[in-house]
Amino acid sequence: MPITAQIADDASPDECGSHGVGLQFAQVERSFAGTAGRVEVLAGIDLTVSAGQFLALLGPSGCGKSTLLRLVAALDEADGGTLRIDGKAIRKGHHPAADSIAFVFQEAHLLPWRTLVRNVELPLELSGIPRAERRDRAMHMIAEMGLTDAWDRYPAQLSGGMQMRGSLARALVTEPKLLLLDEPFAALDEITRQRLDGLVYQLWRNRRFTVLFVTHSIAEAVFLAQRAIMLSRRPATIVANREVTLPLERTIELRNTVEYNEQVRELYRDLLVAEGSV
Amino acid sequence: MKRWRAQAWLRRVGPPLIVLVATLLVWELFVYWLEPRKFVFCGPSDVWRESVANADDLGRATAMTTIAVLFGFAMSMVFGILSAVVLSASRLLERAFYPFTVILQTVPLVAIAPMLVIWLDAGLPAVSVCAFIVSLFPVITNTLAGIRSIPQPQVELFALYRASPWSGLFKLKLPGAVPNIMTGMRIAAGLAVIGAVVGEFVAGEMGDQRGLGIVVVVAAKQGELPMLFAAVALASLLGIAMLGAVNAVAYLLMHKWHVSQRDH
Repeated sequence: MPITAQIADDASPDECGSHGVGLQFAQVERSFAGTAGRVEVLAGIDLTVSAGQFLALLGPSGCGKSTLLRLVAALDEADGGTLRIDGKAIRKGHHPAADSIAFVFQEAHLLPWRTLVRNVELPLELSGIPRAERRDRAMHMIAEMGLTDAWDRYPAQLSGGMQMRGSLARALVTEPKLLLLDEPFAALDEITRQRLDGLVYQLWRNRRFTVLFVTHSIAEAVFLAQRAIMLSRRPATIVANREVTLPLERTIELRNTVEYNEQVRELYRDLLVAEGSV
Repeated sequence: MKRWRAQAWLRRVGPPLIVLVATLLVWELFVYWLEPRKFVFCGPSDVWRESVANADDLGRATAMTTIAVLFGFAMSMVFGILSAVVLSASRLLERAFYPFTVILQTVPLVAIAPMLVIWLDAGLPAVSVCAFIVSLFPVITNTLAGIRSIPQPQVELFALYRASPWSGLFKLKLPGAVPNIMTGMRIAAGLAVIGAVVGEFVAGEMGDQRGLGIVVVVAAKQGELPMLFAAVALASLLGIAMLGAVNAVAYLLMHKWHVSQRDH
């Protein structure tokens, strides 16, 4: 992987050659038709994400974190305001950077009739990359996820954690510049989840794409992100935008440090504000 | 390994075989002891004797009906899947056309068959169309249900990678709907046999090319009960063979990945 080689391990992504894209949200609004009139979900979100940043999106459940992610992926369209990716506006169906976006859903959603490698190949197949090349790239990604032994198994024969790794491999096989993760490991057990968090973090450190990581776990957000955003209840606005001042080297032991727990506590205070209980 | 397989096979085929043999035995003994009048009732041995005596005619009739069933079934597969794909493309189309597909299910075939005779003349085409009409609805509904039940994230994944409608159809919609299509095929296979036999009652008269439906009509008129039973038995066998073929296709398509094909 050429990208891995270029980047010194301890350099901050803002300084060195990032492979991510920057995002600019200005007064982004979105509401949906509900049974009792329109439900306002996002009420004017202003946010700038610099290229190569790992950003965690937190907030009470149902507050619109996923909606924001779907807007970035152009799977949905804002009612007001603008979303820009490296300065270019995103509209539904017209994405200025469609080739460089990947999305990881709450569940793996591998296609059950395809083997693991054929699932990982899918994005390359859909963009018309020749068979030999896409098999090669898919096998590399599978190896990086530690799934080499399972390459020709069907999803039903894989554990939940392995399926999620497969889903990550499928997302990363196109070498995206922006990775969108929508509570990706929420359905997994704690140990598997922490292991996959570590994997995502390493992948990000090696590649320096931009990450938007939606989660409802503050501990997970602090462990992974460089910056954490707290959204309020619907209609959502940003109640906190905190830099996570932890070293770039993040291991399981970090979770026991005073600094880590101080950051978690601060975000808990933000969550109480977001819930409206302070 | 081989012995284990033979045992598993016996476990599967054994029970229904025992039920079949027992039923035939009870039936035969019933006829033997009670001696009901021959034109009202007959035993399995009478049916067997008559079948062997008329093996040529019955064979030809079965072949005729089989051809009509296969044509009708093939038409409903092609047309049913195509319609479901078209209807699934837009909610508006589905809302506009779907209510009318219910007609296919509710209008009695015996009422349509005379029209088919007027348009197509009695014969293989009219009978095939009968089989087609009766077996179409389950293919459409099940295919449609299959396409509709594909998880939204998978659809969005294809949108995200800007897949062509063509890729969406062949790499997502159709493979995703395969389990439901197979269910539709299973129902359609049985219905196609019923459709063809009933169709032959009305539209099957085609010179010396007579299907099982005609054998039924003629045997009933002449009070040849054993021939009647023979035709019914052959029609059921045809249905079972159709179902077996569909199950084989389902196994080929899904045994590697779908839960419904476990432990077979």
